[in-house]
Amino acid sequence: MTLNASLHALLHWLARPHRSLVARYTLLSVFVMSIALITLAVLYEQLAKDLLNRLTGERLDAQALSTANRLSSFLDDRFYQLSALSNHPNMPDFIVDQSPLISDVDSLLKLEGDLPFMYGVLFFDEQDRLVKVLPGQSASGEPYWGSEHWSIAGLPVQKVGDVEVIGPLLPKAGGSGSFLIRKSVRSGRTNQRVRIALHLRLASLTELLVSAGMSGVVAPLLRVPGAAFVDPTGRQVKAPVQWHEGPVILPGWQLVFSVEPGAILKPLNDARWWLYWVAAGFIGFILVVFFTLSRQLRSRVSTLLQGAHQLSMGDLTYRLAQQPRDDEISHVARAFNVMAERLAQVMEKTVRTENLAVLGTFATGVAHEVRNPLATMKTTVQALLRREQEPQRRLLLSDLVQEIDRLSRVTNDLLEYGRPRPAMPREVAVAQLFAQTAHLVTPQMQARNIDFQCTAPPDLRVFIDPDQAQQVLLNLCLNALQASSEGQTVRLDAEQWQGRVRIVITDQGCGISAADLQNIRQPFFTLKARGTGLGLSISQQLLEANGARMEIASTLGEGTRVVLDCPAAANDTGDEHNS
Amino acid sequence: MHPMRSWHFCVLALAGLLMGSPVWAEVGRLELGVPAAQADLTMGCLYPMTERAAIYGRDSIAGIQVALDELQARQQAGEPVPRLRVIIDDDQSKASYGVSLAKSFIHKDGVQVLCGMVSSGVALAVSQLARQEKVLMIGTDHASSRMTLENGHPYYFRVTNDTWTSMAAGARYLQALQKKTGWKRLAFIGPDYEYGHVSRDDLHAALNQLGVKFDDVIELWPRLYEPDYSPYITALEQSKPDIIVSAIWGGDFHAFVKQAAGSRLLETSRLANFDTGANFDFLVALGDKAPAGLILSARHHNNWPDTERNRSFVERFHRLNGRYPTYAAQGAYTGVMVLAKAFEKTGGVTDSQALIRALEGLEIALPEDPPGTYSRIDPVTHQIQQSQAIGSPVPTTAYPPAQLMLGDWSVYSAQELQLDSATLKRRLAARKPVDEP
Repeated sequence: MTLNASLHALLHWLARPHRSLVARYTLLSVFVMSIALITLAVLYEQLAKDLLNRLTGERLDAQALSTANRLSSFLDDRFYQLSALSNHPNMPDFIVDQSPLISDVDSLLKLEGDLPFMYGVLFFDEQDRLVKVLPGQSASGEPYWGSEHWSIAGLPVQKVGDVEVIGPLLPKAGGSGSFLIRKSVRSGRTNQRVRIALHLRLASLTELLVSAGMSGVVAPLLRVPGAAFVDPTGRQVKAPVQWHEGPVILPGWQLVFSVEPGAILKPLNDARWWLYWVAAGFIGFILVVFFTLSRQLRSRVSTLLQGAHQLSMGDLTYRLAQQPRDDEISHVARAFNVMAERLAQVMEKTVRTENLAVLGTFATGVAHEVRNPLATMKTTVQALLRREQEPQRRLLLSDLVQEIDRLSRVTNDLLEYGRPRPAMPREVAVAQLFAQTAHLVTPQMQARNIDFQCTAPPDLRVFIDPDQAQQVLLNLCLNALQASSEGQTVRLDAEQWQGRVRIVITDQGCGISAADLQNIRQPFFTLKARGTGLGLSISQQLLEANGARMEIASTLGEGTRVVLDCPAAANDTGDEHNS
Repeated sequence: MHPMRSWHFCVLALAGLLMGSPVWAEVGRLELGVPAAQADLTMGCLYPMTERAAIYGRDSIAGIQVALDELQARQQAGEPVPRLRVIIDDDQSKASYGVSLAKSFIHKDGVQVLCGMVSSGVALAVSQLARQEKVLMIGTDHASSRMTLENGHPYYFRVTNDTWTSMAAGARYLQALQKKTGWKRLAFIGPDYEYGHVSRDDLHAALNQLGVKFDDVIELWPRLYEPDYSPYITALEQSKPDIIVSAIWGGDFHAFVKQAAGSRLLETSRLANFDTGANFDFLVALGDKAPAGLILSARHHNNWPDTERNRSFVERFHRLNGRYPTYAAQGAYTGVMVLAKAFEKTGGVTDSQALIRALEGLEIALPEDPPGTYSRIDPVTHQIQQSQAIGSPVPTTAYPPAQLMLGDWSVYSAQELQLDSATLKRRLAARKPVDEP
């Protein structure tokens, strides 16, 4: 499968329609992170390889040549020094004699011996036995202070022209490394074959390696005869695992570079693995977050789905529970509840409107048909009543007139309900409305020994049709009156509240059950024996026409409280805002 | 040397003496004390006056001056002290120069006692000459224990602590430290010449004698006046020692510590220098903050022991030179005072053999002797026996410009720092004639 096809398949898999949105975003994040990580790893590998190549490549070769030149130059100087001493005209005599005549050789040798890279000057016979030792400034131990255990037998010897390079004598515990360069002393008066050797510090040669190193990655070493490796301090070190060969400075003496890429690359490698682990940790973290979020989201979305399902089943009273966090789901839930609330209101209003339309049409028809005969009947009965002398019949006729009047009122109510007069709101003092209402209901209250209290701020004004308001208040006060028993109180109060006017009618009467409260606004629903069931419906209708709302709260046996929420007069609202 | 020139130097030296300021600004020969004609004894001293070790030469000359002042005062008080003439020259830490100058001292200046020498390499060569020439030699600063043991001879005496004494004290310090910290890995770095190698051998011998178990992880031998210690510091870092004992001295030790402080070496390893590390000029060079874990000592301390004799010596030196002495000064001072005491002991006889007999077993009170003790010259080895104190840098303002001096002392008496008899016997048995130059 080609890369493109694989990528396409992966994208297709990611875009599977049944996969949740969170899953898709998460998988995409993981995918992007993985791609970034793989790219980084590839780049790192390339960089590390390049770095190693640079460190051990051409630049190292150039350094190796330069270092080899320094070492060769040092040795050339020592060869020259040896040659000068071995060819000194008085040297043969010095070996066999120490007369003042050849004290210049003594001085010269002592001066040479004090050079910092030398331990001393040694003289050997043909059998490699030491015949003379001249310690220099750096001399210590054998062969200068005793030479029983000191010998050059078995040491590697390299010939460079007529000079022998002997050694090295590798460092032992308590001692330092050295090597000798030896040459035959020129022929003299005697036929003695003597060789002169400069005993040199090995470290003075290897210290010249120092500048060839590279940050611990490439360590310069000197490979000496005997397959030993010597570091810049002149110590023998283990053979490196990996090395780069440099120039040969003497037969058997070669510059090599121990290559330890780990020295510089190990921290980078460690960092890389840390990076991978951290990235894997992040991916794991993202997945954990995804699963947690996904589970929580699914659980909360299922609540929304259940709400929608309930709504679709017609349960307009269903509301979602308060969400634990103020987040997007919570906003959706609140919007859902608002939607459900408004939907219920719209539905209720629509149903009521339709009901009213039907009832209005019906009532108007009935009223028209009934009102005229009722008027005729009343006129007739009143005429009969005037001529009737017998008291029993007069009583019956009088009752008949009252029943006709009641039927007329019912008919009027039906007409009013069916064809409500348009509201003509204006500013009205609440106190004035209360006074008129009190004037109408007080006699009846007093007749039933019920205390009627009426309080309203004198400057409180309401924007409402005064006649319709009066009708509503009268209706509600009479309802309160009828629900109350002797000695109880009916209150009528008003107050400014949140830029509107609240009028509250309270009684201490029998109260309304919760079930009845649900239907109490329905037309023709009444709890009174002789009620028409239109009073509250008409009041509701009138209030809505005036932009007001009615809320009824009641407890059975304790009383009822009706709150009218009416628009305040413009000035009052302004005052309220200004205050 | 031409007599007129010699006289000229004497005048200069006397003028310097009278002015209270010795003449050593010039490099080369210098004479202190009385003129040749008045001298009971003539000393010929060799010190380095150039390169990194120059401070040792300058302070040794000043120490000699303090001793000469003291002798002059005692003479004026009527005591039978000798009138000394001291000739000083610069050996440049080179054996060939040292031997050449010493020969010149003996044959041209009539020097009866050779003295001084900082480098053990120079001292070994001059010591052989002293033996050949049968001239008394008093070592004041070099420390290789080989000088008094394997290479000892009747004419050679040393009046400062040697590598054995310092390393024996150091071994005891390390033994106590091991009980506290459990250190195991020991590294050694010393100059690649006689002094460095003998220091290493003495340290190992002293540790083994005490039964201290350790791993010898690395031994390094930079040359004297090594210009760059970086490969050695890298090698030390790689060997991960717990303790590094250094026998590098003088300006070399400054350079080594300065370079090591720039690496991470001293963060993980403690550096000790038991023989020369507490030299005053090194403490000055530390400034106000020493690398952590330094363990130091020297053959004389300006602030230890807190005795009238030591305070007097330090104050006289300071008055004369306007600065505090390095340990070399007390060594040179001791060289003069020991010879004066021997002169007194012989009753004014200046014959070498008489002086040798007087010096063997001589006891003398010196600035570095703790209260109630004396320094004593061992009659067999001719090595002076003294206490040694090891400490670590602590802040102080008592010796400006130093902001750190040693404190937190561990003191070891001369008796406990002696070579065990078996080792002494073995090393003395190695004495034998050396090749004639």
